[in-house]
Amino acid sequence: MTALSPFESRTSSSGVLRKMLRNNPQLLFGLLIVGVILLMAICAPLLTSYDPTEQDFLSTLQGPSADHLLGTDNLGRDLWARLLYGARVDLFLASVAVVLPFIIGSTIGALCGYFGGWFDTIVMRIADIVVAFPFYVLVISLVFILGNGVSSIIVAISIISWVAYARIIRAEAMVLSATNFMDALHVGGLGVPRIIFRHLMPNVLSQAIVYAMSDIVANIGVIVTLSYFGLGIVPPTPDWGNMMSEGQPFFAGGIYTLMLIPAVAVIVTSYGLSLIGDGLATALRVKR
Amino acid sequence: MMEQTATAAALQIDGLCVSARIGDRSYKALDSVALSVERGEARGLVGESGSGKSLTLRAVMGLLPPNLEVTGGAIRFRGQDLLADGGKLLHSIRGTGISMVFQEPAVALNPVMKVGQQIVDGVAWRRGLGRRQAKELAAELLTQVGIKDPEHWANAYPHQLSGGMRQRVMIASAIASQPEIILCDEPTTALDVTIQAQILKLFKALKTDLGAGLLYVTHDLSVVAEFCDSLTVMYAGRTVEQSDDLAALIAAPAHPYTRALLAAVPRIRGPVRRLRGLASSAPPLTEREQTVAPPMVPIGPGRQVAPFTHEDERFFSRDDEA
Repeated sequence: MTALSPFESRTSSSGVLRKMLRNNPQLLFGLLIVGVILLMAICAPLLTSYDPTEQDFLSTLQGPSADHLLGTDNLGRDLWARLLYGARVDLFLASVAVVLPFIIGSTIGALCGYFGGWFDTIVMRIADIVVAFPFYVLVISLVFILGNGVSSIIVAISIISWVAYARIIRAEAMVLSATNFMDALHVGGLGVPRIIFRHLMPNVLSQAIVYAMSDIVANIGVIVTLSYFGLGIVPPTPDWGNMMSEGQPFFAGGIYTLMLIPAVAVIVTSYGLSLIGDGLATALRVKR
Repeated sequence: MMEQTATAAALQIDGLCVSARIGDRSYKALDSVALSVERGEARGLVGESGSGKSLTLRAVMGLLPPNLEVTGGAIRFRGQDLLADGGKLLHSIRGTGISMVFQEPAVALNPVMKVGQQIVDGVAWRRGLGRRQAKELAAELLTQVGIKDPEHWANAYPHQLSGGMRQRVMIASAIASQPEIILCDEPTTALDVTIQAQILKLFKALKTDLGAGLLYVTHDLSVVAEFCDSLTVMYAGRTVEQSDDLAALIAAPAHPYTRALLAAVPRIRGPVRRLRGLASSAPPLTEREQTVAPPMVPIGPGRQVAPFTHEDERFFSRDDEA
């Protein structure tokens, strides 16, 4: 009975991680990209000496130089500094805006999958109503109602994107509820909250975690879009969205960098996060 | 033969009826099922697929699928009817008074929780055990079910165990709070014969050590012969024959179905003869008679049999290839 014991190495978490990364270039590459961007955002004050909101009317619309790595915008603000500090705002907000829907949606989904019946029917019809609206139409009108700013962005995103988590978790929880595993828990005399949160949730959360990665990407899109329309981050706080909208008028005049640099930042970040999402999906699938 | 006590049996099922709703009609899936299990007794519950063995266990545990419901009878645990108060009593004795071992431990264990943790999860929660105490209890239970090096295996996940070990873990979690009755739903069917023998030995030991009563559902009459004290035979959702003494029933089966079932067991000794199958399997639920089953009648001490007609006799004794 001691023949099967090579699991010591597998249970150590660093070993699991190393193994996961070795066979998973997607995950590795994604982590690398996002890691670098995160590091740059965190170390922003070390990477630039400029204040992202400081205006300098003597040096507006300059091209890249030793003084200003990426040049300056129409108000003479350093583009590199604005890009770094903008990453702070956008990444932080996008990640925070994932947490609330993740928690709410997963809990609702687990309850629906476990109980079924009328509760499930009502909640899922509400979910249908939410997704019946085009996503951006709903987000923009919600932010418009709530007023712009960080908290209303989070609230608006939460109101909409819990649905995806609830549906994912519900489906998985329903499958699991029909197995002997659930019967065994009932037979063990465990209470319903304990069954749901201690046994059911850990078994179904992996799908939601994978989805959360792509949801961060979507959130970056939402935040940048809202800011671009002047509904999100309030200027002068730097953010990739308002950087793009401020740079747009100069695009026709041949100054492409003001708009293209934040756009490239959005694309690269989203790409990195998507790679992590796909990589995680692969890794967790193998584990099953 | 086991001693008869004046007190109520640990588990007594009396005239249990379970109906299935299919479309707008309701069909009897269990009809007047009657059996009892004492502490320290191992009662076999046999019958072909679809005879209602597993359903009986599920009804006792309150695990009926949504389209099935109990429509009559009583399930008594220590004399108290589990169905009387809308499930409160049932919920309180799950895991503590009655527990259950499933056929396939691979799908009955939590794949993402260490086995040591999950076998004591219920007990630790009910008794408010700390981490250390829970760990000690887990190791103790694993030792009791014959797992060597329990501290080591307590930290493993179910997928790292062999089938036999998983079933031992399942059993460990079933005995964690010293239940009086353990329902066994074909616990060795998914295992190979060597492991099956080990697990049966373990059940035997547990029966004596814990003094628990076992209700052991199986297709396998050799398992019954090896391990059970008493036997109940089911056919098409009804209990057709039961005896508190296994040997008496095997020696002289009274019901034609029991005779056919026993005759279908292949034998190594004796004259060579063609293997016999059962004449026919039980009719599907929707084609069964919807009359109320007559209760079994006593034909000896601790021995009952359902009334049957000559037609039944001819039906069951018919050769399967005739």
